[in-house]
Amino acid sequence: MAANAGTISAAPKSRRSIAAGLSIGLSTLYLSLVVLLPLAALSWRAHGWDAAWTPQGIAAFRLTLGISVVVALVNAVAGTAIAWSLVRDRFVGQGFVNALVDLPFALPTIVAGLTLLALYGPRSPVGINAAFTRWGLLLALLFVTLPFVVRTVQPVLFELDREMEEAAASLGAGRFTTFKRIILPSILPAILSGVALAFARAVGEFGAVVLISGNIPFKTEVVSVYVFGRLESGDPGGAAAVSVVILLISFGVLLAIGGLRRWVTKHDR
Amino acid sequence: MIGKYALRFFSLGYLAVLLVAPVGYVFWRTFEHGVGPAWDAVTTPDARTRSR
Repeated sequence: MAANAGTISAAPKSRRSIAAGLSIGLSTLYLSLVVLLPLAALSWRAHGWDAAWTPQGIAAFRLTLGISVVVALVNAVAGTAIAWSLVRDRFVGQGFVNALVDLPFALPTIVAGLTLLALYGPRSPVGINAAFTRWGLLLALLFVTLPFVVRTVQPVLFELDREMEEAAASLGAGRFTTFKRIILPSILPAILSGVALAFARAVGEFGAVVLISGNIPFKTEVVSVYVFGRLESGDPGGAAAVSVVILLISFGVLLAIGGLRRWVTKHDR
Repeated sequence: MIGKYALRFFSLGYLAVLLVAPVGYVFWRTFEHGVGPAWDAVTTPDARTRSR
C-alpha cells in the first residue's frame, strides 16, 4: 500500500520534470535558432577588425553610445512622468493619449524619420531645422523609444498599494518625500527595465535616423549606418566586425543595467 | 495641486512635440488638397503591388 502511494505521488513529479525539461529545451532551441545561431554566423564572418577601429568607426561608436545613454536618461524621466499622468491623473482624452503612446511601435521607423523631417526639417513650418544635426538624431531616437519606459512603469504604478503613501502622508511626509521613499523604490526596477529596452533600441536603430541624421561622418553617423556603409562599399567582413563590437558593448551595458535592477529589487525587500 | 498640473503639462507637452505635432502635420500635408490626390498616390500600380 505504502509502495503504491509512493508510485502515485512519484508519477506527477516525473511528469512535471519532463514538462520542465521540454519547456527548457524548446526555449533554448527557439532562442538558438532565432538569436544565437545568426549571432554565431555573424561572429564567424567577422574579419577585417580594422574597420571598427578607424577614426570614422570610433566616432560612430562614441556618438551611438553617447546619444543612446542620453535617450535612455530622457526616457527615464519623461516616460515615468507620462506613466504617472496616465495612471494617477484624470483628464479629458486620457484614453486617446494612452493609445497614442504605442504609435511609434506601429509606424515603420523610416516613416517616423520622414514624419520628423517634415516638421523639424529644412522646410519646417515652425522654423526649427534639426535635419542633419545631432538634435535631429536625438529627436528620432526619442520618438522610436518613447513607449518603453511608459509601458513598463504603467502597470507597476497601477498595482502600487496606495495605503503606504497614505500612511506616509499621515505621518507628515511631503509629496516629494513620499515619492522618493515610497514610490520610487517600487517603480525603479520597472524604470530600469524600460531604460534598458530604450538603450538597446537606440543603439540598433537605423530606419528612423537614416533620413534625419544625414549620415555625416564624424558628426551624425551612427554605428548602424556605418555598418550599412561598409556593406555598400563591399566590405561585409568589416561590417560584421563592427556589428560584433557594438553587440558586445551593448550586451555589457544591458548586463550592467540588469545587475543594477536586481540589486535595487533585492535592497527594496 | 500645481505639481499635478505641471506634470500633466510636461507629459502632454512632451507627447505633443515628439508625437502629435509631426504625425498631425504629415496627415495635414497628405490631405491638404483633399482626399483625391492622397487616394491617387496610394492606388498607383506600383503602390498597389507593394502593399499586397
